[in-house]
Amino acid sequence: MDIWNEKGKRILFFDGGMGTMLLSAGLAPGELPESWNLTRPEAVREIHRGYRTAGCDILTANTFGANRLKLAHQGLSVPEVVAAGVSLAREAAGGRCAVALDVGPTGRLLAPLGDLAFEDAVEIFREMVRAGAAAGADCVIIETMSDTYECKAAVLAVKEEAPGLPVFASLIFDSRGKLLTGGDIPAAAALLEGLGVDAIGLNCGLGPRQLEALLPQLFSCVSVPVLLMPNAGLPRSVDGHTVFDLGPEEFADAMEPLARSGAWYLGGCCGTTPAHMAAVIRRFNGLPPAPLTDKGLTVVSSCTHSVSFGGAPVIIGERINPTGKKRLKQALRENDMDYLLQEGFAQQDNGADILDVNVGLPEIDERAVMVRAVRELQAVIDLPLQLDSSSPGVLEAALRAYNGKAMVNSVNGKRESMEAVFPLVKKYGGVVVGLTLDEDGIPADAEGRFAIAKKIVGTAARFGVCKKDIVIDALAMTISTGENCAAVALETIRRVKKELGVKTSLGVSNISFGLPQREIVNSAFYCLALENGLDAAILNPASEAMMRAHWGFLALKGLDPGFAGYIARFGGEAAKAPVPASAQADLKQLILRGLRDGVPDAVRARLSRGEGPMEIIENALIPALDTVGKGFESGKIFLPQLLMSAEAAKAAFGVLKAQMSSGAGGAKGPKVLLATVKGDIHDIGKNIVKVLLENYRYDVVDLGRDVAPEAVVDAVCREGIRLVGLSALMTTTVGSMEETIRLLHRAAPECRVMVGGAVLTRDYADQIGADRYVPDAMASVRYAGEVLGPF
Amino acid sequence: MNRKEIYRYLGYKGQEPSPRELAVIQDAAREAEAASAPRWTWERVKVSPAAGGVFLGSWEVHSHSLSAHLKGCGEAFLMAATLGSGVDLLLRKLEHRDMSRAVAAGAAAAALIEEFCDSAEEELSRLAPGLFLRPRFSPGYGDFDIACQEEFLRRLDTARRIGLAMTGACMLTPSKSVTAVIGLAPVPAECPPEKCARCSNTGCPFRAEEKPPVKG
Repeated sequence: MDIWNEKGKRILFFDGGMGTMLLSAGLAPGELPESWNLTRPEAVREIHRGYRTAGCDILTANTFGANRLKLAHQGLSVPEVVAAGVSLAREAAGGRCAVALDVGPTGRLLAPLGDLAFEDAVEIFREMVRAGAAAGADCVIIETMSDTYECKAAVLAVKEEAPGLPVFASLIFDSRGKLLTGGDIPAAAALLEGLGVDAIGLNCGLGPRQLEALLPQLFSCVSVPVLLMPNAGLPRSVDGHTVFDLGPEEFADAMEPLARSGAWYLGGCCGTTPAHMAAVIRRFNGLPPAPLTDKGLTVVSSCTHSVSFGGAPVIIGERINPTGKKRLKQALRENDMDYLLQEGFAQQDNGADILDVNVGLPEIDERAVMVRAVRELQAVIDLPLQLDSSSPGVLEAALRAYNGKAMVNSVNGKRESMEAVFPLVKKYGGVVVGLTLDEDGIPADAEGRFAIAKKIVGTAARFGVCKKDIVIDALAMTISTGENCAAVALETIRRVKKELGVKTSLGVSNISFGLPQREIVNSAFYCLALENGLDAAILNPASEAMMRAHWGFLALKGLDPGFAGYIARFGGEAAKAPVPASAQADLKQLILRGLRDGVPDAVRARLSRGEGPMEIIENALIPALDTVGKGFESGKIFLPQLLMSAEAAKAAFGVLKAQMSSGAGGAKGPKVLLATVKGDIHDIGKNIVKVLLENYRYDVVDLGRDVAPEAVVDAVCREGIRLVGLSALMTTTVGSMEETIRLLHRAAPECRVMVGGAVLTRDYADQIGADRYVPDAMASVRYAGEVLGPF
Repeated sequence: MNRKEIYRYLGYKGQEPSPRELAVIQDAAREAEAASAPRWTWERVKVSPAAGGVFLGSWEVHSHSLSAHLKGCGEAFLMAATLGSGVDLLLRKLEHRDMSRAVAAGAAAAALIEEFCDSAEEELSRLAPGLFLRPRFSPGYGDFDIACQEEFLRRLDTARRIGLAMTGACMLTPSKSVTAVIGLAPVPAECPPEKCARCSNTGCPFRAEEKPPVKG
C-alpha cells in the first residue's frame, strides 16, 4: 500500500464515526450496526465514500462488533459479516485509501473481571482477523478498548493470524488518564509496546480538549507512533438522542494541539462525520508528525501500573520460589494457591515492587501450575510479576497468561538459551534478566562477565529485542568461596551500566552463603551494589536489615522525596507500643473475641508451656469455635464476629500446622469438596463456608468458581470425596447446579450434596435433588458433622 | 453511607454491632468507598403497550409485571450504574486476606450502589419536571426475564460507556451494578411502598421488617 510510504512524513488520517453515520442513516436502537454490511450494503458503502471524499487515508471497515458473541444470537456468521464489511470499504477506497479491519471489544469482560477466558477471547478475535485478512484488509485497528488484557488478546490474534498486517491499538481513557479497568497510560503503553504494535492510540470517551490534557503523559512514555481519535466533543441528550457539542469547524479548531503534538495518525470517533474529517484534513494536511524518539525506558507493568528501572532501586520479592522452602514445596504439591497469595500479599505489604514467581518442582506439572499461579496472583495483587523458570515452554505459557509487560527470569549467554528465550520476549514483550554465564560457566572475573553481557545484548538485538528490555544480572557468588567475589560482581555492574548503558539486577543474598548472620553481609553488599549502579535487587522484603539498608540508601541519595517513604516506614517506630496486652491474653478468649493479631504469640506461649498441638486444638480452639458457632446459630452473634473468630482460629491453625507437619498429629480430617457452579463467578459465600469448614479441620478441596459439572464429578471420584458443597447466586445458574447434582448422584451415589446461595430455598434445593439446603456457613459445618461423623 | 443498610446486609436485624465489629465495618466501608468509581448512563424512551408486555421505545419486552409496574407511564428512563471493577478487585483481595473485612466491604458496596442509584434517580427526576418517577424495576424482578439484561446493556451501550457487561449467565460484571427501568408518570404513585415491601421475594433473608400501614 503506497500510503504506508507516507507514514511519518505527513500525518495520516483515519476516518470518523461509523455508528454515528449509521444512526443518521436510519439504524434502529438495538440493531446491530454490522448487520448492515449484509442488509444495507449501499448505505455502508456510501458512508465510506463520504470519508474518502473528505480526504481520509485509511477507511475503517464496519466490523467493530462483528465477533461471534455479538453476532451469534442474531444468526449471523462472522466470516460473512467481516468479509462483506472489508469488501465494502475496499470498494469505496478504490485503491486510493487503505482499509482497516476494525476490532472492538467482545462486549464481555475477561476473567477475573468477568467470565470470558483469555484464550477464548484470542480465538474470538482470530476468527475476525482471519476473515478480515482474507477479504483484503490492509491493516487492523483494535479500538475503544477498556481493558488491556482484552487488547492483548486482540493483538496476539493479529500476530498469529495475520502477522504481516500493521496493527494499531487504541484505548479509552477517562479524563484522569485511567481505563475503566483501573490501568494508567504508562502501564498500557508498556504492555502494547511490548507486544510490538505499530501505533498506540487514544479514542472515544473524550473530546479533543479533554484528550489534549493526557498527551504530555502519553508522549513521555511511548516510543512508537501515536494515534488520536477523539469524539466530537462531549455528549448530551437532545430529545432522546445523543448529540455531540462540536461541529466540523469547532472540532478542527480543537484538534489543533493534537495535530501539533507529534501524533502520526488522526481520526474521529463518536459524533464525527465526513464533514468533521474534511475540516480537520483541510487544516492539517501535509503537516509532518514528530520523528520518533526512543524514550529508552526499561519498564514492566501490571494491569494497573508500571514500574520503571533507573530511579529508586526496584525491589523484586524472592519468596515465591520453592528452592529451600519446605512449606512452599508442600503448597505447590497440594495445589494450595492460597499459600502463594499470602506470600505475595506479605511481600507487597513489606515493600516489594515486583514479585518473582517460580514454581519449579520436579514432581509437578510446572507449566499448568505456573499459569494458574500467574492468573491467581494477578487477580488480587497489582504488582508486576517476574516470571521465573528454566523452561522456555513454561515461560511462554506464563507470558501469554500475564496481564501486563512481565519481567522474564531468565536468559543467559548460552546460545541455546538465547535462541529459545528472545523470540518469546519479542512476541509477548517483557524485560528479560540476562545472567552472565554461558557454555563455559560463570567467568571468574569482571572482564569475562562483561563480555557475556555484551554478547547477550548483541544477540538480543538480532532477535529484535532492544537493550532497554534487558537487565543484566552480574551474579553474586558467595564470598566464602573467594574473597574477590563481591568485587567481581560490583565491577561487572559498573561496566555494564557505563559501557553498555544497560540496567542491572542482582540476587543479593547469595553473597553470604555459608556465613552466619547473613543479613549483616547481605545488607552491606546491597548498599555497595546500589552505589555501583544496581537498579534492582531480588531479595526478601520481610528482611528488616535489607529494608533498613534500602530506605537508608534512598534517604542518603535523595531518592525518597521529603523522606516520605522513610518516615512512613520508620517514623512511628520509636513510639511503637510494647507488645499489646492482648498477646498475653488467653488463646480461647482471643478467638472468642476475634483478635487475630495476638493469636500466634498466644499459641506459641501454650506450646512453650509444653502443651501439644492436639491439646491446644481440643482445649482452646474447638471450645471457642463451638461457643461462637452456637451464638451465631441462635442469632446472638452475627457474620462479622463469626468470621473474625474464624480468622483468629485460622491464624492459630497456621502456627500449629507448621508444628504438626514436623511431628505427629498433622493428619487432616475428611475431605469436603466446594465449588461455585458453572456460570457463577462470585464465590464469597463458598469462601466463607471454606473458612469455617477448615476451622473444624475438614480438608477442603476448593475447585473455585465457574466449575463445570464434570470437573466436580471427576474430583469426587478421583479423591473418594463423600461430601460436596455447591453454591449458586443466580436463578440462571441453578440449572448447572441441578446438572452437577444429577451427574454426582449417578457417578457417586454415596456422596452427599449440600447447596447454598442467594437464590436458593429449601424447596428449591429439594426440587433440584440436593441432599441438604444449608442457609448459612454454620449449617454446612453441622451437616458435614452429620455426614462425615466425628474424626 | 447508610450504616443501617450495611448492617442489614450483614444479617443484623436491628441490633447494633459491637465496637470491634463496628471498627471492622467502618474500615471496610472506607475501603469499599475508596475502591469504587461509580459511573452511570441512561436513555429516555417512550412507553407503549404491547401484546403480553410493553414497548420501551422500539424494544418489545414480554413481561406482565413490568407492564403493570409502568401502568400510567408514557415514558421511562432506562438506567444502568456500576461501582466499577475496583470494588471487585478489593473484594477478591479481602476474601484471601480477611473474610470478616470482605463480607463487611461487600455489604458496604451493596449499600453504596443503592445510594448511587438513588442520587442518579434524583438527577433524572430533574430532567423530567412535572413528571413522577416510579420505583426502579430491574430484569429478574417478577416475570421481567433476567435474559433481558443482554438487550438492556446493548441498548445503553454500557460496555463502552461505563464498563458494564454481563456473563453468559446474565450476571452483571462488575458485580456491584444495577440496571433498572424507571417509569415516568404524570401522577404520583398511589402509595409508594417501602423498597422491601414491594418485592415478591418474601423469604429473602435481608427483607426489612414491614412497618404497619399509616392510616390517613
